[in-house]
Amino acid sequence: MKPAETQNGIRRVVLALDPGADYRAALGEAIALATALQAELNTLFIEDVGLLGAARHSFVRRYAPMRARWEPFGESEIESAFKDLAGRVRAAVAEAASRDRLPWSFKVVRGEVEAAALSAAQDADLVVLGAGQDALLAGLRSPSLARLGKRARERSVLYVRPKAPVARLLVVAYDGAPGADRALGVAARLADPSELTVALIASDAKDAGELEKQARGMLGDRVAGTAFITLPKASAADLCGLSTRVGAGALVIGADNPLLRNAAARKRLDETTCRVLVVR
Amino acid sequence: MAREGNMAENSGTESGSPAALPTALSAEALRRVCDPATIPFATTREAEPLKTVVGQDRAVAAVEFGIGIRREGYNLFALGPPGTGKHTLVHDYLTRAAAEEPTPPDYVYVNNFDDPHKPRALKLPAGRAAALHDALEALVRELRTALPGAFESDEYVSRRQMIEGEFKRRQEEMFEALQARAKEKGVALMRTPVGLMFAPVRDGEVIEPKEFEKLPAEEQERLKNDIEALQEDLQKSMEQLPAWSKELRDKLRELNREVTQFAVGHLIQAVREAFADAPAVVAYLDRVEADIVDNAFDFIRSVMAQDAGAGGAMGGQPGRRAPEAPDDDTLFRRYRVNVLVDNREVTGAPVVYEDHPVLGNLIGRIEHTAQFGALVTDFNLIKPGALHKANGGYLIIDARRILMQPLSWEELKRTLRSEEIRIESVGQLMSIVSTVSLDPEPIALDIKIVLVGDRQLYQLLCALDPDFDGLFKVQAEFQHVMTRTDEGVGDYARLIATLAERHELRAFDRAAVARIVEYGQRLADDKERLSTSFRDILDILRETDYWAGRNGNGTATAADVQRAIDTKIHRGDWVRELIHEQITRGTVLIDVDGEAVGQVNALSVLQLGNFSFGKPSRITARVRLGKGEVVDIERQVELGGSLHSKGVLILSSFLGARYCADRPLALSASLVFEQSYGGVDGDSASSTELYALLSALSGLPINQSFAITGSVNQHGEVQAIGGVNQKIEGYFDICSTLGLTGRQGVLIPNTNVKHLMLRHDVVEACEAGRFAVYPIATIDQGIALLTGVPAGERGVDGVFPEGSVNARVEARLEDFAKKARAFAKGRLGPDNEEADA
Repeated sequence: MKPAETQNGIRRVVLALDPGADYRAALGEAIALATALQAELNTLFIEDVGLLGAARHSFVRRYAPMRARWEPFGESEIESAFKDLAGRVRAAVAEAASRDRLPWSFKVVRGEVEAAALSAAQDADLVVLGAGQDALLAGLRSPSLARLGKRARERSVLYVRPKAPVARLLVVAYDGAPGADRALGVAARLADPSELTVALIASDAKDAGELEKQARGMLGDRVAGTAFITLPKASAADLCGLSTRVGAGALVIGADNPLLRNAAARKRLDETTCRVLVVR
Repeated sequence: MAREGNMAENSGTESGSPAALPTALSAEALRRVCDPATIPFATTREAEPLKTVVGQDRAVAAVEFGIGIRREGYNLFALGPPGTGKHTLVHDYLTRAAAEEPTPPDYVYVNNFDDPHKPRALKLPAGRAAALHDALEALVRELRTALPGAFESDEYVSRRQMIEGEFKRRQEEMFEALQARAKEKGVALMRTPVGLMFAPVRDGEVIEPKEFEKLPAEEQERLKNDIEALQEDLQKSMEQLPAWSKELRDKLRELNREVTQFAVGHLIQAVREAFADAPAVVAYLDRVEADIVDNAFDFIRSVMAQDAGAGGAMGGQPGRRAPEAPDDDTLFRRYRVNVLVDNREVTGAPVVYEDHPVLGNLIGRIEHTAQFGALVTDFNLIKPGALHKANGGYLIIDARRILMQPLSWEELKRTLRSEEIRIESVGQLMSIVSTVSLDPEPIALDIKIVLVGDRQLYQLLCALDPDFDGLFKVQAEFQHVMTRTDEGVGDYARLIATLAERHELRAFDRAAVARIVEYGQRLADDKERLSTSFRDILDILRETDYWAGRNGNGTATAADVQRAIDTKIHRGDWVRELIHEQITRGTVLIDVDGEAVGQVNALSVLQLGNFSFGKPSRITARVRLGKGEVVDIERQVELGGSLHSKGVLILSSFLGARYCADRPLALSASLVFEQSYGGVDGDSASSTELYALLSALSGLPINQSFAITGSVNQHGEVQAIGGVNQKIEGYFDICSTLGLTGRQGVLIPNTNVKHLMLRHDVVEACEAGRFAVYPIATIDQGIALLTGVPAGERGVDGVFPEGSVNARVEARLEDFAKKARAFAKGRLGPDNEEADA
């Protein structure tokens, strides 16, 4: 067994690309992640059936931002656009992966974006879902834990946010659960100890001490420099606030964390500007 | 022999009548010996170094005048023979004068932020350019740290997030409002690879067309209308986005400017204060500050790109430069300072000698670098020329070299006329390059140019270049000789000492110096002059030093000097030996004894490279009845030059005037240089040719022991010629080889006696009576000496004395005239007799 597999169990990263997203930024994130985890990168280009269905309506038109006007639009145009975009994405993935010497694959599937990604990536250890930094349309749609509902917990997923901070700092939500242990392991793999902040979800100092002891045990000799902060309330708002305060690039959370069972919490996590990495 | 008669001690040419027999010259007249006692030091080591130039008073005065006068066009042209010390004198004088003058300002080229193709020239106080260069380099280094620091500060991040958040909030609100309105109406806003669209939805999923068909017609119509309305709303909203984006960019730019200003303001202010005495620099720094503020984000991008490793797994791609980030060099080159003139090390005004005055070395050049197959340039690649380096001072250029370089001379004149240095490439000057290049701001020129060249070049420029007179008004003429006075010999000796010391040669003793003074006289070909060809003097000093070393002499002696002279001659005299051998072996016919009618030994000088020597030639003359013409056979076959022909024509005139004043010169004579297969020119053999003619006409034989040189005028006066020493020595060498008889000698013009500086062996032979040199003033003196028969002066009766040379010649010519008349009578017949009379 390879050391990476023993430490984080992530051997395959699947990048699921929404045809409406700016694929370049998401690809950059996925490449960096796969490189750090020494994993292979599988790219899924998802032809969104919603877009196809919509394009079949005779009265639906498309707004071309560059020309600032509405134009006729049909199924053939969207099919053609999917094909063109898939070709460009494949070329970009090939170039980036070969530059970083990553094992890679590319696949086109059709379906609803997040669901299709989770379904198609059955054997993936981590799915990267994301919109890029498309400033003009940044507010339109981001990968959503809320939209996925309980399926958000079925798989390890990195939710890439538009305009996420460029930083290596990671905040890990740690409550001592097995998912939290795995989340801490992955986080330790992605960043140096000095770039880690472990949010100990504990109601009192005693519990916090225990959790810290447990976390330190998990990190072993990679603990030096790691910051430990106690969060008495395990709310999504607190976690998001902490991430913002420390300028974190990502919030890492175990898939079995109770917050993910709460729709409001998932919605709050969708609102944070940093990336969210759910580790199953 | 004539010299055994009533001869004066030195020269008999001044004494007696023009026909008086000349006397042989004494040893003192043949060579002027420099008495070592006149040398003012025992060895050159003790001599006081000479600080002035010897024998060039005229040139020195001209150079001093040229340096002193500060008017347009008063540049100098130092002209004279090679090796006369032009460069040394000019350089020394300029250096001395320049040391008293103020050091000129420094110049730099900097970026022109308004038009980068026209770099700006900045003038700074002397020695400050390098400081400005270093200050700007340090500023850029500081910026690399200070700017990112400022942009990473909490305050900046916070303010930026506030601005961006406002934009994002506005945008999100717009889309949210639109989406909310759409949702209310059962419509969703969707993003596609090719734009946005609205589609009917139910429970968050798009209603497929088949399902849509099943909806009530009213519902379908409503949805269509709603979608159309939403599209109009979206269009209106989207039309606001560019304005919002611009507003965002403006706000961010203003924030960046503010932060940059704060970060760099104090850094630039420090530089500004350091250069407060240079207003142009202060103004430039204002532009630098403005440009940095305008382009601060480029700095940040560059720094971030270099530090991209910090991005890590979650924030970027390790070790990879952002593709849109300009590299450091591109960014910061524009703030560099290109130091063109740095006078830090200069005290006084600069004196520059440009020994390779190609255009680029003269006015500067613009270099290029290759980037992706194209040649690019900027102000950093402007290189200075000699005019820049010498600006405010003096520039010395070799005239021949600059004239041989394409465009350099024209560009130098243009620069002097316009009084500004404008750097242009050859391509631009020739209008053969049309690509975009630089047009650097011209630099004001305040310079004195000193051209150094020979006289011929100067005269050609005067004659052929209409601009020359106006630009080079001061002529500093260097002479190849100086007058030999006692004081002059002292200075000359000190010059020898100075050269020996300057060139690190061993010391020369008094006798050696005296011998070199004599060598200087010989180089001048004049016992009353000294050569100012200091290059030749220096050569002989160096060679003497070598031979002294070979001889183990710590101090060079006269013997070492003599050996240096002898070996120098020996190295170059192979051809002379060859020619002399042809004579001594009888291949070339020259008699050095006996008598012959119409035959005489002439002397000529051959110049081969740096070595010249005398060579005897036989001239013969034949006469017969004719129409008064003396035929120059050399001229007829185009081997004779025009000066030689002139000499021969003078002979006709002389003969006609002296012997046939009242009757036709019924003579046809031919003259030839026997065994001469090359060209002959000059009139130095004209007296010799006349002697041959007189011998042929009189029938009197000429003593072949003599060789003759000298030109003659229409009155029979013998005139000076050149190369007298070489000619005498040439004939002496032949006679020595064949055996000196004591009767041999050379007839030279009386006016050449002052030029005699003969070799020691010649002088010794003359002193011992084995050889002789006769000064001749008139043809009558010469012919008397050559034939042993008095020339004869016309008496009061108008008749030459019986038996004299002139009487014989006149009689022969009269005879020719009679025969000619008789011949004419016979040809014309008795009817024409009266007309002939």
